[in-house]
Amino acid sequence: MRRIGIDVGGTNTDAVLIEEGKVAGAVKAPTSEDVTTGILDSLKALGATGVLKAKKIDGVMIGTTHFINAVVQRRHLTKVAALRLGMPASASLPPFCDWPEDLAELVRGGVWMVEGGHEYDGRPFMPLDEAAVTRAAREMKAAGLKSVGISSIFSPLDPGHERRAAELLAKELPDAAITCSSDLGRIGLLERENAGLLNAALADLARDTIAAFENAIQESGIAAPGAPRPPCRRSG
Amino acid sequence: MNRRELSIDDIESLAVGAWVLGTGGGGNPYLPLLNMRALYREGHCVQLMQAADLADDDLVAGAGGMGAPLVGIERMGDPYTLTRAVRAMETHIKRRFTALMSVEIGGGNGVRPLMAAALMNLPVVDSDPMGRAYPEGQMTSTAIGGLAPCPISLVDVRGLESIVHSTPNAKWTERVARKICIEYGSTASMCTPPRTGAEIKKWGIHGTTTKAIRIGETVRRAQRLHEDAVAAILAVEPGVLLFKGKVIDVARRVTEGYLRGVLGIDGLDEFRGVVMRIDFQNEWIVAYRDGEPLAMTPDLICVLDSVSGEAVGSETIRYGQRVTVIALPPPEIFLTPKGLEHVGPRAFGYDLDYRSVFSS
Repeated sequence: MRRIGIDVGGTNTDAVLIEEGKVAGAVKAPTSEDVTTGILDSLKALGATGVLKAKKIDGVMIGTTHFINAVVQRRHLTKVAALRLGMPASASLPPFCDWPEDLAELVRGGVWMVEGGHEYDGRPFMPLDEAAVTRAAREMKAAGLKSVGISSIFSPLDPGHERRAAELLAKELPDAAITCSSDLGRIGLLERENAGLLNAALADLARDTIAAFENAIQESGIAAPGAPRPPCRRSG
Repeated sequence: MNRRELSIDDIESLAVGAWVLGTGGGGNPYLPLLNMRALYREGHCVQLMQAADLADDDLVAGAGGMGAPLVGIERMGDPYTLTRAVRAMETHIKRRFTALMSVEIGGGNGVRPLMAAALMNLPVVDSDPMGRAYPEGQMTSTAIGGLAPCPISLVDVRGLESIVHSTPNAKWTERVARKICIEYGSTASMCTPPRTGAEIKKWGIHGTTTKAIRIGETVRRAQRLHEDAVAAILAVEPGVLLFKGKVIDVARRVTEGYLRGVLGIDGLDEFRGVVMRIDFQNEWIVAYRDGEPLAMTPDLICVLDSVSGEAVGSETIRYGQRVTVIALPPPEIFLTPKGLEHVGPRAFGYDLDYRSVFSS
């Protein structure tokens, strides 16, 4: 196994080559404003050391604070449609209710709450109101929203309603980026929903950033096999 | 009439203090606090009154939530359903309430009566029947006083309303109400048996909302000033420091609807080389130092985050957390023979005679 690891820090972008678990080469380049130039520079610098010569690379892993910075600096955020399945419960605490007001203003594209969700023991809390989901999808489309965060009561135990709602949304909004809360979080509706909404808010930035990373890797001339999908791993 | 209008800042403090008095259980007051922020933004406001100012024939409702805290963070309670639980009781007894009260000051139920009070425009009495949190409905000053164990109303947001009309004692009320609650999905809004002003004055544990606000204010002030929040609590409350260390083990199991288990803490600083073990049933029940019982119910055992001073709950505490354990004195009524029968170590199945950390 031979992989390149890149860490985009606030000051420097580090690149290392790891062969069979050992660091075979390491370089630094200044982090650039657009992030990708710094990555490209670090890859070039790594190439210049000669450690990559005629070697097949199994993968390139990039770690970046790019996304957290976007949230902290309130930049490059996508307007998000929040769809919660769980009515009539929890209506007094709608999606975005505990967000900082300025961040909510930037991200909140609209909130839809419909019947659905499960009990802790697997019974449905309410049957999923599919007609209401489709109505919501049409309203999202009319509002020009292209990124949706779906949450549902006890979805980590049974993600069925979130999955079904995602299918219904995709019919009306074929180009939308859809995040299901059960893919990101654990028990705790607000916390898990917030993680999903944040992920949805980063949809455009993620697409652009990943495209830029792929370009940078191609330009560097490293023969890395097609980046595995999904290329992102979120932890923390 | 000695009433105090609570500010939203008071309620922020109440949430922090109620969580400390939750002694590990009662559920985090964060979601009730979010509901209160929303209600205050809409222009609602809550008055706090003293039990001494109740007329003997006033009627007081205990308003709160029942169920598993883990369900409560998925199916989040709301002020309208809680208000319906109180209204359902009024319909049943054909009388109107004049005030509301907390069913337990520890945890989320320390804040919940304010949610209904804001909508019903009724004052909240600065008293409760526990002075802390306990896992079972008969572990109250009102049950120790032999007050009526019924009726109790249980309401679910989907339009389910139940009244447990008659039972011979509080333990039966707890058993039957718990079954209804489980059918609802293990969360319910409830109104506990109506109490007269005279009953509250005689059997309530008084000043507990004010006490929770005071503890919360102390913690929040220490945080702002970057001071030791645990030391700050011990400076304003007659508590004792029991232990300081790092969590090395948490074993949890859910049995009979309760979260039971054991917490292990490895000592730090002056407690280096010593191990503390704390048994819990939702709340911290008995703390052992090197195997010897050190503190036990009804003494309040509070596990606090060593840095923030905020309480840590039995359902969320995790390996590696730095915690400080303190004890706060229990309400006097729990120290009577009848009181210990209801909430002493034997009530939790321990073959231990109650020995207070405050008596030596």
